[in-house]
Amino acid sequence: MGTRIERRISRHLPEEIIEEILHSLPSKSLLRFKCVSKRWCSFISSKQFIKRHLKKSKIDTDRTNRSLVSSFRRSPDIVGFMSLFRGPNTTLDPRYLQSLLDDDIIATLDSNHCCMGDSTYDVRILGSCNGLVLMNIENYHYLFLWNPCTREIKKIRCTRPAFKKVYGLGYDEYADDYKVVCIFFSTRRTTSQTEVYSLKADSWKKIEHFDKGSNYPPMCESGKLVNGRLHWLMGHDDNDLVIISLDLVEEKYEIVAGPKNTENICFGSVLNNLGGYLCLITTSSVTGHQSVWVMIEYGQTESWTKIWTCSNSDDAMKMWPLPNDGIYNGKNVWCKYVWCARLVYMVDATTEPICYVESLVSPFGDK
Amino acid sequence: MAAETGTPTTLTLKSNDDELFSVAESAAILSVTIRNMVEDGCAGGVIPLDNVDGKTLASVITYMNGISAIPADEEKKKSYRDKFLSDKDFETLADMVLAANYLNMSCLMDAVSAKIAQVMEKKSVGWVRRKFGIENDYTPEEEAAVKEEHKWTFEGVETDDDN
Repeated sequence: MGTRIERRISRHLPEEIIEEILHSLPSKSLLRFKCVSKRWCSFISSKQFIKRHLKKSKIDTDRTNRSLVSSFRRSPDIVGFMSLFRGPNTTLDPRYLQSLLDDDIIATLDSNHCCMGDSTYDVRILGSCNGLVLMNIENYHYLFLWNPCTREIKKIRCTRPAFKKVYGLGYDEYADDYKVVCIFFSTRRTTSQTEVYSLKADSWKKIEHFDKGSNYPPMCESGKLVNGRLHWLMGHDDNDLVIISLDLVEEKYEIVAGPKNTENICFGSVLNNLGGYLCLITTSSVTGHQSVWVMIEYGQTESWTKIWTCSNSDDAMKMWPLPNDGIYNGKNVWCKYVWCARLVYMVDATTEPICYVESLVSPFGDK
Repeated sequence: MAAETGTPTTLTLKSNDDELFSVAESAAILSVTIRNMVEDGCAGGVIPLDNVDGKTLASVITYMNGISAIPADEEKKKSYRDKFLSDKDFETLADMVLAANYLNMSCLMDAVSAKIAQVMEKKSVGWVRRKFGIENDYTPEEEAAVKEEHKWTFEGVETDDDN
């Protein structure tokens, strides 16, 4: 059956108009409306629809279909759980986590990800792309590719031991393929090796390793996806910030120059995606001031622009991008170039929340 | 042409139930269908719009006048559209989207489609079947299986009031 509905299914509205309407619906409603008829089900499940729906969701200016996901430790004895932010206090049921480890990996829960409890898993969220979230669980030799919206989860075997591993998740537009990147470091200062997992091929392969500039491991575990490339902020020994980028189509590394004049020495810097821009949050070792830099034109070094400086180091302990293209620092929300006075409810996450677009993209690829 | 006479040109539109409406050409040409007729010189007399009834056409003209009075400011236009559609029920919106499609008014079409989606968002499967006139072609077993697979999406669904 074709992905487009050819026949009139409605005496009220023609099918091309129904298609337009369905593209504007949130993913949860669409999953429910698979029950309307076989035709609606096959249409909503079609690859073409999922792509168009995703495209529309990504340009939605109201950002209503964005969510945050983060992992937490509730106490020192590693009690990990995850939370999905749509509204306050929506937390993923740890039973759901348990189900990740079972063979039956598609969990069915009766609650709306809302119950809280103890779990002994230390879950790390490593990236997100087009509604898919990449995560791993400490001491567990799998990666998980998860669509929180459809609740589908795919396990990906990743067994190679390493001193340190960093990851990334991205989409290769040319091959129409999702790719998981893993960079392995065998010791603190050795050359790294990179492997890429292709969802289409369902296998890992080695690609060129990164051999330019610093060989210190990156300062965070997850690569940031901007402009179809994954970015990591590498460790450094001479105060220079080195950002490496990996083109997911070519599978080749490049260096992205950081901002000039970053004021004194920067440490504890964080790389991120702020509303589609490559964003760098730096901390001055002299003043403790934090600054937010944005690369306005991707690839243009001179377009790095400081959009905000936080002088109160108490305020600046954590600074995380939010789905509405704002920044959250544990206290206030900064968005659209003005400080909002309103407080945001957010539990103290131990890891940086990751924003994802709600989509129907399947972690199993084209079924 | 309007520019030559120096005074605003008015067009007369006729709905499929023979109601006549006067509307400024500058507002009416938001519809690509009408604009093409004007450009082809077919707009001399009365423009018949065979797929739009009088009630809907009156509403579309209100929209045309409202939106064309707003200068080029996307934010303001968006808030006008939101306000314009805010109190419309499903049937009215369905008529509007058909009219917008026929008149080839993409901005109105997008806004009404999004509004219908918003109305549908929390509705039941039964409500959608009724409003869209869709026959349930699942066997009870098949339907139960599809429902079971997406059970959590049935939480928070509004009870049907058919509004």
